[in-house]
Amino acid sequence: MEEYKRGAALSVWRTPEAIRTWTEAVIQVAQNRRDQQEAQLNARLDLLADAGALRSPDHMRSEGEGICAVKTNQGLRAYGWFTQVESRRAYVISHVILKRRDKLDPADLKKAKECRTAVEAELMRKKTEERQ
Amino acid sequence: MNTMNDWVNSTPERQRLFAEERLIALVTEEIYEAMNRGKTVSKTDLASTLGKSKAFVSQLLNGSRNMTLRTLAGIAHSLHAVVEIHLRDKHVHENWQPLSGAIAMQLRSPLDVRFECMNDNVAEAEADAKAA
Repeated sequence: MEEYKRGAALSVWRTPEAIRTWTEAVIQVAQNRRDQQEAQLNARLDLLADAGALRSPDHMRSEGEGICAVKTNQGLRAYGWFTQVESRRAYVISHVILKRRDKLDPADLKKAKECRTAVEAELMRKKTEERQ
Repeated sequence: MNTMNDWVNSTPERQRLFAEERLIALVTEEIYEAMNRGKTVSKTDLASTLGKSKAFVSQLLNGSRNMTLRTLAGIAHSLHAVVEIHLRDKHVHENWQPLSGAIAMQLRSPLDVRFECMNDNVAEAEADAKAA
């Protein structure tokens, strides 16, 4: 996992799957809007890192069961969850997709939850090792 | 390209796009915060006081319609708020003041000052003990 952005309130982390799917999702955006949409996603994640939360439902949406999505106007979505990584508040991105419609695909929720289970187990294992 | 800063700083065009999107996101978040401060103001309430349609307000808040300064001032007025604008050099930390004395004060944390006071007290106590 890589620390993508360290802000005043929290850090944004990306899993290897998030890095891979981010690139794939951006490629699906129309070429003349690609940089603008990626800039929008980055700007909203940057604000999240500094403020700790996004109030606008057009910027961030709770998808249920602790999974959230940071969104752009053209349908880029960075699914993830809030947790603690290295004793710091964190938003961990599980994967990124391009989806025009607002309705959540259950497969995306399942994928994010599975990623959370695996990452949290790994974080717990590291914490236990550090204590020993 | 591993961090957000790497992406943003990779081209001048991306820096500009990021700055635009960051400001739009920040203004929108500020408006949402003001709408939820005290008595909650809905988009319909805001549209009504502005004399515009709800769709107009929704487009402003989701970033699909550009906001003029006049509209921003109108929204702020409707929310009984004022807009504060401050342009600063992006290379200067926002908490720093342009006066050298102020910078020196920023660098000295309250804790440091307290330690100095404590050390002075210890020195005085030691001098008193020697005199006695």
